[in-house]
Amino acid sequence: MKKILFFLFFLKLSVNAQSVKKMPVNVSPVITSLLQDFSSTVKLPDEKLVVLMKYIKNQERIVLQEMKNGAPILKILNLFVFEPDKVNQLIGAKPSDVYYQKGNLNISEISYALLFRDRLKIDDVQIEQLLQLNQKEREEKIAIIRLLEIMGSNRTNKLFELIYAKEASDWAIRDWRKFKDFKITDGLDSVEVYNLIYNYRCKRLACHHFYTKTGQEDSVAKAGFRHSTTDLPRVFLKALTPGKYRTYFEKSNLDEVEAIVKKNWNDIRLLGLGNPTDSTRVKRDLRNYEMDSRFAGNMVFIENSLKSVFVRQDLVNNKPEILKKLEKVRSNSTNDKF
Amino acid sequence: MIVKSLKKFQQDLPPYFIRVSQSFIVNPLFIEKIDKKKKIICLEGNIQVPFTISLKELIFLIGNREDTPHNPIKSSLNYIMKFALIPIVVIFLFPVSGTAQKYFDKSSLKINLKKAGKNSNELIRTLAYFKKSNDPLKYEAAGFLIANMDIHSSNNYYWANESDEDIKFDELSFSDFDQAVKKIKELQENQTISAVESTTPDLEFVKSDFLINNIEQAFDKWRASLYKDIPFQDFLEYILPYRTSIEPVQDWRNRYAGQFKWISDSAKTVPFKTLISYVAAEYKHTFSFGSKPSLPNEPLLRLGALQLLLRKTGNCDDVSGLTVFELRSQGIPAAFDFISFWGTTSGMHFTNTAFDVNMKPTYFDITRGEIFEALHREPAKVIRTTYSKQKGVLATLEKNENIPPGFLRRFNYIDVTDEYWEAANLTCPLLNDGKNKIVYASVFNSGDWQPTWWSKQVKNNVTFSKLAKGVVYLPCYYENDALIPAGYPKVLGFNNELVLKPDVDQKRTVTIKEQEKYLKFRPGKQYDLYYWDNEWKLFATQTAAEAATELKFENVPGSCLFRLIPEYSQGKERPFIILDEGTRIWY
Repeated sequence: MKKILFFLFFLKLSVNAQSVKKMPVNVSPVITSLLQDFSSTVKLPDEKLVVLMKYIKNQERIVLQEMKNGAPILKILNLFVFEPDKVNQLIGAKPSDVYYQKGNLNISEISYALLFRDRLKIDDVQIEQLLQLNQKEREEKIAIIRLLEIMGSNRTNKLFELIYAKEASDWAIRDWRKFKDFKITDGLDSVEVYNLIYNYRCKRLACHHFYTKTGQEDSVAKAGFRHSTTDLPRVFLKALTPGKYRTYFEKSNLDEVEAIVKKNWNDIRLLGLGNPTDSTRVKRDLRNYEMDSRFAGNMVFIENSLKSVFVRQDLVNNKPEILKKLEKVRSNSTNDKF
Repeated sequence: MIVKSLKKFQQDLPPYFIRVSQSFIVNPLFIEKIDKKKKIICLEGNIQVPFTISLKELIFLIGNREDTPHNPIKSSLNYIMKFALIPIVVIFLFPVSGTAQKYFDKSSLKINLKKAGKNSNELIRTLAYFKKSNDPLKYEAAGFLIANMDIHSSNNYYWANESDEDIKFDELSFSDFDQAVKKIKELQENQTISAVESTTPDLEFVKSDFLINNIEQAFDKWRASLYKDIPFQDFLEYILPYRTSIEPVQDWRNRYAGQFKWISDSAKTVPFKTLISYVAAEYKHTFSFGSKPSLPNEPLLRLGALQLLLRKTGNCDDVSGLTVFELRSQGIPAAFDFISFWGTTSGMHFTNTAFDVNMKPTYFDITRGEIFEALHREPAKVIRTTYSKQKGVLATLEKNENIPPGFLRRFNYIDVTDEYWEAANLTCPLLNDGKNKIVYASVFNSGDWQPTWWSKQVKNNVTFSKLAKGVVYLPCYYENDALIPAGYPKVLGFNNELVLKPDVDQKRTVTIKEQEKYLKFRPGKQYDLYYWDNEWKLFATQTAAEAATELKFENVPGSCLFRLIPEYSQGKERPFIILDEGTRIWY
């Protein structure tokens, strides 16, 4: 009897998401939502749906247990993945291919929201509203708008941060390794640095996700998904302290600076503005100026203050004479002084 | 105590005032009736004045004076009413001792008060305010502004509904320009509203409160600044004015004084050129340069001072104005300069000059965020806008309609070309004799000859003063709204001068080579070679061969100004000459 009820449910589910109202009481919102994710893409015979549901139910049980035990978010996310091989094994190769054509994120934001319902403090009414979203409303762009409507911008933002926790962590580790390569980690608290960068990356990825999926600037502002390109250098500056940040900046920009110095020096030589014997001194001046200018520009970018604008201007005012000459020659019209 | 004779007072008054007896001069605007039996004039305010001149003469003087303002203004001149009796007027408005006004022309002041019509009471109130202030310089400043006010006006517009009523939409009531744009679009959805262009003469518009505040704040800032010892004339011209050009007049001093206080603070600690470089850098950081953001179909030529702060962007003319407002708000003299036309490219440009405490100029281009010693390319003329009318400008000699449109029609500018660029006088031979005809030095700009300076013809020559070197000039007359060539073009080179009169006796082969950034041949495309001989004449057409890097034209007249026009032209091709030894010079 129970089995028949399930079959009826799945059958209707694939046609109309509203049928979740008739969901058996022992099927969790997450399972319901995940099955909707599947059924919106692939049409499966009932017996395969039952197999899939059993698997999901088992996974959910494990995940919920881990959550209860206070497992870190990365572990939770790792468990809440449906590997293609496993799905292939459960529902067959062909339907599985169709399902995974959708992309890497084959679990909807709705399902994630329901999984993290306790963390996000979503109430029963909101859960019910999420489950009642029809197939069209579960599509990425509209789903985000619906999530905002149902859960509000803070919870939606938090949800995306949870979804992107793994990616953010990968970034933070990568950044730390880079700092290590640059030999600027002495005296730094790795946990503190990791957390600063991880938190920034979570926010950045959440914002990026929202923005690329909706493309609606008004919604961005409304939802509080704000991000500025100055945020990352600000986080790095905070994490590294000014001295180490300068080193980080210099090492990151060294190749580009050297390329510019090389080009300028070649032009200076070609135009007869400098002698080969001046090479070391002129190159050093050019290198210092280029690096200082870039750094000053970066500080204007980060601080957005008049003070940093004037520091940069002081550098421009004291530009090496040879560079001034070079720029003058480059910008001159081709007319001779007839 | 009045120590001047009434005769002398009358000389100081507007000419329509009438001396009616030994002791009284009357403003005819306030005469209500004349009692011919008692020989008494009844003025508004129940004032009675006896007259001793004949009734016939009195009526003649009241009714037939061409220079008497029309009576409609009478009702609004309540303030002047107090001064209907001349002795009071004289005491109040004009100096009683022998101190002559050095900084403005008295007759201009009188004429402007008359021209101001209904608004004259506002201007008189301003003068009266400063007369009472016991600060003679402030009175001079007020006189300076008002005496030169007749040449200034605001180019502005208002939003009108279908009945042509002003709907009183003010973008400055919004804290964000985008919101203002949104609002006007909303209004346009619900009703038919359109922007109506208007020109408002300052004389008829500027109010006493505004003028008084402007003068007081300008003096306060100036006297508290490092510039307090600069010549007063420079203060009047480059700190005091409430406007820079034709922008809508807005009450900007206070707002700018606060927002740009960092300029006067920095002025105390950094060298002047560094300070100006900071001003340029701050502009680049805070504002943007480009097409001015606008409200839909907005017919606004230049942004006002407060609009600049709201919109945070504008064209070069707008942002040059912004810089002037910034500096003047801190008591630093600054000028609004412009390149009337570029001499070797299209368009025009606006720059600024700021002066140090010794009135030594520093030139800077705010749009490029830099100060400079010389422009980066050839101007035709560089003009500095002043507030006051300048003697000897063309507009004082020639009727407006006989002058080509543009700055030459204005009264308030000085020629500063030689401050910006190497310049020299240029004498051009003309085709015909003439005496004192006005000839214009024109440059090729935006596909046509554009008048940029002037001089008077002497026999069959004309000599233009201070033209920029490195430019070709064509002498022209201006007749029937068109420029008529008056001679052949002449190169004013850095080291040479050359009349470009086509020489058919000296035909030659001209090879036109490709040049990076200037000329690139496209295979299969046609190229027309024109030369100037009182008009652009087609010499020959050639098609560029595959991989062609040059075009060769045979039997071309010598000493020509050329243009090579491809079939895909967008009208931007510059003229050029080719010297006998083959060097090509673009203009």
